[in-house]
Amino acid sequence: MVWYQLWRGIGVETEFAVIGGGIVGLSLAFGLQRLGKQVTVFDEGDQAFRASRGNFGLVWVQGKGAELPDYARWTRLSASLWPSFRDELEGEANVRLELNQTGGLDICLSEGDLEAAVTRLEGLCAALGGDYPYELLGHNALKELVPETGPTVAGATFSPEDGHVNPLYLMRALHAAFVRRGGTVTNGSRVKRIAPQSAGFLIDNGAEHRAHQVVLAAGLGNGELAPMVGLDAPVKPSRGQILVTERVKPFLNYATAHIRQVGEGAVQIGDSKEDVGFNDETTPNVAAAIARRAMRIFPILEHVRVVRTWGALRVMSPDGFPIYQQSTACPGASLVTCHSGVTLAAAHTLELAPWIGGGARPPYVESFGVERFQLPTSA
Amino acid sequence: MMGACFDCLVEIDGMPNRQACMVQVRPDMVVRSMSGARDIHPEHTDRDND
Ligand SMILES: Cc1cc2nc3c(=O)[nH]c(=O)nc-3n(C[C@H](O)[C@H](O)[C@H](O)COP(=O)(O)OP(=O)(O)OC[C@H]3O[C@@H](n4cnc5c(N)ncnc54)[C@H](O)[C@@H]3O)c2cc1C
Repeated sequence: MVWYQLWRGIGVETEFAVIGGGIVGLSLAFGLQRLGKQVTVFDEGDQAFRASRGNFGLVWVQGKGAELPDYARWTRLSASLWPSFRDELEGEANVRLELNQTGGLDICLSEGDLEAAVTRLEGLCAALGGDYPYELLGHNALKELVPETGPTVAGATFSPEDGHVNPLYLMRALHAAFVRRGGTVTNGSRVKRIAPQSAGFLIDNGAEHRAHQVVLAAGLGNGELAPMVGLDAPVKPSRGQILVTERVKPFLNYATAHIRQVGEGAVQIGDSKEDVGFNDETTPNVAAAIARRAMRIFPILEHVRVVRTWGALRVMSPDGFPIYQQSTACPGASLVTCHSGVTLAAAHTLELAPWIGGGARPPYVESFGVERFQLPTSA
Repeated sequence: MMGACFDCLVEIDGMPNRQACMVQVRPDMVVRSMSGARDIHPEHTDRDND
């Protein structure tokens, strides 16, 4: 308590202030720090809604970006950067991330769902000039790949580019690598005010700090902060509930869109998409529906006990795609927010952070400006 | 915080991965320590190898 208050009283001066210490903020903070910038992360702490602590851990490509091919390209770029990102991060942080990119299955219960999945992938493949690997697996082919598949499953689509990672180890590793490189994380105080100054920004989280540049990466907190630096962050929560079972011996060698087995053996089962505002509680009826679907996919799960459930809030923009925006009204301020911050972590550290640090804009990123949500003003 | 950590898993009467701290002892209960995670397939769980 004493330390906490002492710390609150002291303002720091920093080259970059990153607001938000979730996966997005830490990916950028690490990316900036590794370019030699001096970075301080201001994080609100445990009382905040934090998608990074409650997500499903997929590094997922399949089916994404059907409505915006640049999102497919950006996602694939990140997935392809993940192995080298993992190597660097594991080396610096001495934490194993449990990254596995042997491919992913979107398992479909009905023929109709399977047809819809294939149509979507065909569309993506056409939009990307034929460069989009996937396979259609009928029931028997899927059963060959995963013998535990249930009798009423129609089939699956498979992408060799999909995978999964332990998102909590990712958080820990980003934090450790960032701090090892001299970065500072302050937890426990919400940033209430950001005021542009003649040079740089004043950051008020109870103490007043100064930053030459500021990066908004506060997840759902961005909505409130963005207007303070001439930006707009129209993000809304979307709740997902997840179930986790007891640990079992490895049986599932591929990530699937709703079920994955984590490194320690637990089976993680997700996830709902619920529009319930700022409420991250769990509800028995949703948990039951999630469990029922999982038991249809892999009936063997009937014998496995669920040991934990939780809810977490996704950070969703109106079209579900990221918002990457540098402020023109307040130069030096930028906004980075997205759903799929795990998948995009590699691109955020290796491609986006250099742009925020003053370098060239990476490919595809121009498609993710906030102006796409602004209605054209009538003449 | 009983039941929170899952560090005390044992096999009780043939049922693997039970939390020892959450189950009351009964006469004739057969308790074995777990070695590694359990198998997901029920036919493999009664450890006929020991
Ligand atoms: C159920 C679920 C499943 C998901 N599954 C996947 C998946 O499989 N793969 C994938 O890639 N992504 C997945 N996601 C999405 C992924 O978790 C998010 O994209 C990512 O965590 C967003 O990170 P973030 O740092 O932007 O937000 P958050 O994790 O929400 O972090 C925001 C941080 O900002 C801080 N903050 C907020 N306001 C302030 C303030 N005013 N001052 C200071 N600090 C502030 C908070 O303390 C918090 O730590 C899932 C999300 C959910 C909820």
